[in-house]
Amino acid sequence: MTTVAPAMRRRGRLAEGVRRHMITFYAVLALAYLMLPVAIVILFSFNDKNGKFNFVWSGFTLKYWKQAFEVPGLLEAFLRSLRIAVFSSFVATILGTLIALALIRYRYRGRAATNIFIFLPMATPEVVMGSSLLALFLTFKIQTGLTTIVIAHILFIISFVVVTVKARLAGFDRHLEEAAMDLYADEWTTFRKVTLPMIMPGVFAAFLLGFALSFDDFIITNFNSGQVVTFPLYIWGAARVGVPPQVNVFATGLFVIAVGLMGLSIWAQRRRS
Amino acid sequence: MTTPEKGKGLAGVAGEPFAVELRGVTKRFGDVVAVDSLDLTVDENRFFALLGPSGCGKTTTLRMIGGFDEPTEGTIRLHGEDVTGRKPYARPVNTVFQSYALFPHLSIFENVAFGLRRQKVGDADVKRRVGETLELVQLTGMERRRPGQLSGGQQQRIALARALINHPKVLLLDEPLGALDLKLRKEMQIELKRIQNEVGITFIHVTHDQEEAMTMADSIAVMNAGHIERLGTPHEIYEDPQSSFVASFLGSSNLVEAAVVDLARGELAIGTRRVHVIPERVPAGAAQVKIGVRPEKLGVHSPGETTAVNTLMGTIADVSFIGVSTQYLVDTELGTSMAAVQQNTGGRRFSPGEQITLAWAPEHTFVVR
Repeated sequence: MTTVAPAMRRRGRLAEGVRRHMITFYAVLALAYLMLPVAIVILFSFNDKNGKFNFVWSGFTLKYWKQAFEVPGLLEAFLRSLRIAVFSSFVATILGTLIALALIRYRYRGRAATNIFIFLPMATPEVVMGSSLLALFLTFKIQTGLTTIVIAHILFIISFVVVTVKARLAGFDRHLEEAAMDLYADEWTTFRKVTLPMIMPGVFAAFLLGFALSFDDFIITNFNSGQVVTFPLYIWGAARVGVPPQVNVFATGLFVIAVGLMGLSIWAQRRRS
Repeated sequence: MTTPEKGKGLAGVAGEPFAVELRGVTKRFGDVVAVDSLDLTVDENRFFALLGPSGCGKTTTLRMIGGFDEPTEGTIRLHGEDVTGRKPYARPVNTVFQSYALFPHLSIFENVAFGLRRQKVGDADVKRRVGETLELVQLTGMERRRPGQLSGGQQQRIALARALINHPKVLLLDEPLGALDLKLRKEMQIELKRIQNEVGITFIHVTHDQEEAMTMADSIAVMNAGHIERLGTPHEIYEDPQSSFVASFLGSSNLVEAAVVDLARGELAIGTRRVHVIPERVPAGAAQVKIGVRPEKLGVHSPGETTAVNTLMGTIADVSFIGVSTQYLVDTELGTSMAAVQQNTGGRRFSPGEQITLAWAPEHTFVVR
C-alpha cells in the first residue's frame, strides 16, 4: 500500500503534465511533419554531394549556390514556369473575380449551372483533366506548347479564384457600394474606389494561390506541354539521371520569396485593420 | 436653382416647389406590395419623420427617394425636378445609412471628402470643407484615423458629416440612431436637431421609435402596410391620431366602443353614458366608432367631486407609484379597465378597492373608426 501510493501519485502527475501539454505536443509534431521536407530541401542545397545523387549528406558547401545558374536548361525552365504562373494567375484572377462578383450579386438563369461548372475542375482528377484537354487540343488541331499550357492553367486556376473571392464577397456590406453611389460615384468609380480595395486581400490571396498551383503543376502540364519544358518537367526529367543540387537552390529561393510574400500580405492586412 | 416648370411639380408654400414630392408611388417586390400608391409632399427646411413598425414600407420609401430602389409606379420629384429612374449619383440627395457604411479602407478625411472628390472639387476647397464639416459634427482632429478606430457614436457623426458636406437638397436618414445605446441616442437626437437648424436642409428621417420621431421632427408621417395612416405635427398626431393604429403606435390610450348620437353636437353614447367630443373629430357617416383618451388626460376623483363634461364610474383595481406619477388601473362601470396616470403634485392618492370617478374633457377625446 505505502509503496504503491507514491508511484501512482507520480504517474498521475506525469499524466497530468502530458495532458496539459498535449496540444503543444501535437502542434509541434504536425509542424515538424509539414516542415521537415522543406528543411531537407534547404539543407541539401548546401550538400557537397558524392556521385550522381543528392540524397546522402557528405559535407557543407556553397558551391551550388555560387553555380546556381550554370546547369543548362534549369534557369530557362525556372523562368518559363515563373512567366507562365504570373500570366495564367493574372488572367485567371481577373476572370475569376468577375465570375465571383456575378455569382454573388446577381440572380440569373444558369447561375446554379455556373456554380457547378466552377466546381468541376477542382473535383476532376488532374490526370483526367490533363488527358481530356490534350484530346480537345488534338481534335481542334491546336499545336501543344506554351499557349496550351497557359490555357490549361488559366482553366484550373479560375475555380480556385472564384472560391476565394466569393468567400471575401460574402461578408461584404452592400451598403458600402450604395453609399459610394450616393456620394456621386458611378458604377465604375464605385468598383474602383470601394469594391475592389475592399476585396483586394481576397483577390491577392487568390492570385498567390493561382501562382503556386500553376508554378508546380506537373500532371496537366505534362499532357499539354508539347516540346516546352517547365520547372516541374525539368526536375522530373532530371530526377532520372540525378537531380542537380541547384534545383534545391532554386526551391529554397522560391520558398523564401513565398514566405516573404505571405509575411507581407499578413503585415498589410494587420495595418489595414 | 431648379426651374419648377421643367419638372412640372406642384408648388408648395409661397409658390416654391416641394423639397420632396411623391405621386402615386408604388413598389412591389414580386407579389409583395411594400409601398402602396403613396402621395407625400415635404416642404423646404423640414425635419420630417417617416414613422412606422418594421415592414411598413418606410425604408423602401426612403430608398426610392435616394434612388437605391426604383418605384414600380409613380413619380418622385426633388425640388420640382422629376428624378424617377435616375441613379443615386445623379440625385441631389445624400443618405446616412443605418449601418453607417463608412469606407473601412479610407481615412476619416477621405471618407468625408469622398463626395467632393467625385465632384472634382479642388484640394484646398476639400481640405477647408472637411475641416468645417468635422467641426459641425464636433469631431475635429479625427482626420487621420480609420473608421474602425472610432466609437459607434463617432462613426454615426462621420456618416452624417460625409453626407452633409455635399450640401444636399435633402438629407435621408435611415434609422441612423438604431445602433446606438439609449444615452447616446438621446444625445444624438438633440445633436441632429441642432445640425438641421444650423444647415437648414430638409431631413427625412426613418425610424420605428415614436419617441425619437416626436422629439426631433416638425412633421411626422405614420406609415402602416405601405401607406400613410396619419400625417401632421407631433402634437396633432398625438392628440388626434384618427386611427386606432396610430393611437396605439404613439403612446398608450384607452379605447372604448361608442355609438354616435348627435353628430352636430359631438354627442356619443358609451353604454348608458353620454359623452361629448369635438364634433369635427367624428368621422362623417359613422354610426359606431371608438373613442380614445390618453391615460394622462384621465382625471381620478372621489365620486361627485368633479364638474367635468365626460365622466365614468369605476373602482381602483391596481395602483403603481413610479415617482413622478402614479398609475391607476380602473375597472369601469362598462366592465372594461382603463389606465390613468396622475402627476404627483399633491393631489389625493387612492387605494385599490376605492370607488372613484374618471373625468376628462371633450378636447382630450379622440375618435377613431
